[in-house]
Amino acid sequence: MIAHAPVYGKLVLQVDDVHMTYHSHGRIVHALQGASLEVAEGEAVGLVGESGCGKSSLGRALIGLNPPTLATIDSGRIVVGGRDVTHLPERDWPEVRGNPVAMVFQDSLSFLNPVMRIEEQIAESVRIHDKQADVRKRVRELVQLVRLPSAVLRAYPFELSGGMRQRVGIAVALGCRPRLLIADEPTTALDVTTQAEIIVLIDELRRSQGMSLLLISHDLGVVRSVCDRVYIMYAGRMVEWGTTAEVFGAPGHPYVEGLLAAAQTERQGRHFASIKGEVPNLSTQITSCPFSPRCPKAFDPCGEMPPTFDLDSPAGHQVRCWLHAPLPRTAREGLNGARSS
Amino acid sequence: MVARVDWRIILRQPAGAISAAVILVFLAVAAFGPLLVGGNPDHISENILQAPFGAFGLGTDELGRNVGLELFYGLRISLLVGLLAAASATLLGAAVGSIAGYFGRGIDSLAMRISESFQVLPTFILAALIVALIGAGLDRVIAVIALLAWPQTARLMRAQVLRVKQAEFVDAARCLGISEWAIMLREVIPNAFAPVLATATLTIGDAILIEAGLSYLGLSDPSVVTWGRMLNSGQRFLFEAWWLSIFPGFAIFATVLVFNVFGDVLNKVLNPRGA
Repeated sequence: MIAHAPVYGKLVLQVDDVHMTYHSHGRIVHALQGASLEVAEGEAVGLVGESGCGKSSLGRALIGLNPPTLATIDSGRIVVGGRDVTHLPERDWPEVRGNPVAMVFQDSLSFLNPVMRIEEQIAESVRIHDKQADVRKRVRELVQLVRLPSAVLRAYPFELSGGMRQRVGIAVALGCRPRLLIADEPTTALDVTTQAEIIVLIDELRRSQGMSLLLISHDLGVVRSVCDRVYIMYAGRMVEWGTTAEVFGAPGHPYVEGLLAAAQTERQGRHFASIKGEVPNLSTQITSCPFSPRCPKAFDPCGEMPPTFDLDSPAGHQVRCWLHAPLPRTAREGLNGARSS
Repeated sequence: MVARVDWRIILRQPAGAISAAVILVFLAVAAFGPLLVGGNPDHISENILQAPFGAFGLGTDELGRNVGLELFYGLRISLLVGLLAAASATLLGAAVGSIAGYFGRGIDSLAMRISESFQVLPTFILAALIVALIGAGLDRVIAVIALLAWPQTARLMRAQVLRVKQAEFVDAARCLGISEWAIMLREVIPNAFAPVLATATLTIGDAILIEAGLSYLGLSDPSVVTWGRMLNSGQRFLFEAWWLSIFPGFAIFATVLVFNVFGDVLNKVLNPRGA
């Protein structure tokens, strides 16, 4: 499905047209409706979308956290570090979790065990993934890497600030020596100055430790500042992706234009520009362009079928929008005429 | 690795501080009292049915045995039975509840149906029946009490585990590639255990009461002094020698009371919802 225009090098993560549904008390939610994504070795990739677009569902699927009784992957493929994990049984997941893929969570108070000292929590990940390591020494190293004083080792999570706890979370993840770090809204629960510190830290560590990063966020500024490439997600699928410069510099999808405009007015302190309407209800499979009900530029084909074509772009910039359909203009108009008659 | 309990909160409350102090005194007396006081509670003398507060401390019974000394030794038995029965019931209940809550499905339904069937049975009558059938003896009394007390702990533990296993740090631990058993033991149980501790303390009081009832009915080891047996033999002299009934009765009352008060304080601190 994905256009393999640029050569990214070896892939640590490959998500190919994944459809995933949640079943709960007779209700069905089609959380992912053709999500595709690739992360190459050493690359920082952003995954952006508003609440309910499926970005966290995708992130959790990559590390097997969606409960198998509630979530099923109906089609598509997820390959992590060369291993197909699409239908990996629960007993085999421990071989994938931590290494090659580790995760940093959003709420820094709730992801640490409240009754375990910090040292023990970091040591836990080292013991599992670094069998030869001198655990005490490695834990101290990790704490230094995330720039915490070694005094925190004796502390319990509730004794630390939000920023410190987030650093601990990063240290725990690094203890696994992951090839891919998934950071799910790692700064959302923090105040603005701490956010910047944590993002800078994650970015530095990614480079110094040679990891890849998948940064899941709704904060465009954060993604822009650290990511090489970015995927914009809407209604369980990717609507635009490419290098950060291309997507943010010359967005092709009206949804992305809207997002950027909203972020722009926010920065300038003016009255919010917003995208009218609501995120579509995912209880059905969407068979048109999912953004068309809210799209100011929607025209005939948008309501008819989802745009699934690839663009011929040297840098891999893809826009799933009928405005960019690679048809000759006359053919497109002909199509319109035929449809509307 | 046990749930952290902030003892300062408990000790700051008068009820908590007093009951904790009394329990400590009881434990000390049970452990060292007989050594310090000396004497044999089974020692028979010719000073029968002597009134208390005279030359014979708390008086003597119909065989001239020293009531005060018997109470000392009875405390030992009561606490031993209470603590061991509560510990066994808590261990069994916590294990069953944890596995049922964490792994769910079939195991869960099975464990809960079994615990329900235990809970609808009248505890004391069943205990008396079992002891009457398998014979008296401290170990058997402890085992029977534990067997009857575990379901409550199991249900509480299960509810706690169900709550804690949804916590994000459990997912975070899972992300490290920790096995499910290790997650249950290291992440879930330590965070689910605190309220069970309160129930365990209340179970001690229940166990002491059941033991006293059983030995009152003569369903205990005849060779050891227990408060229940003292009550039994004292009732024949209720009008001639009130001290034979009042002192052991008060001892049972006071012991069960302090454990219940302490359990209630623990419960208030550890079970914020007042469950």
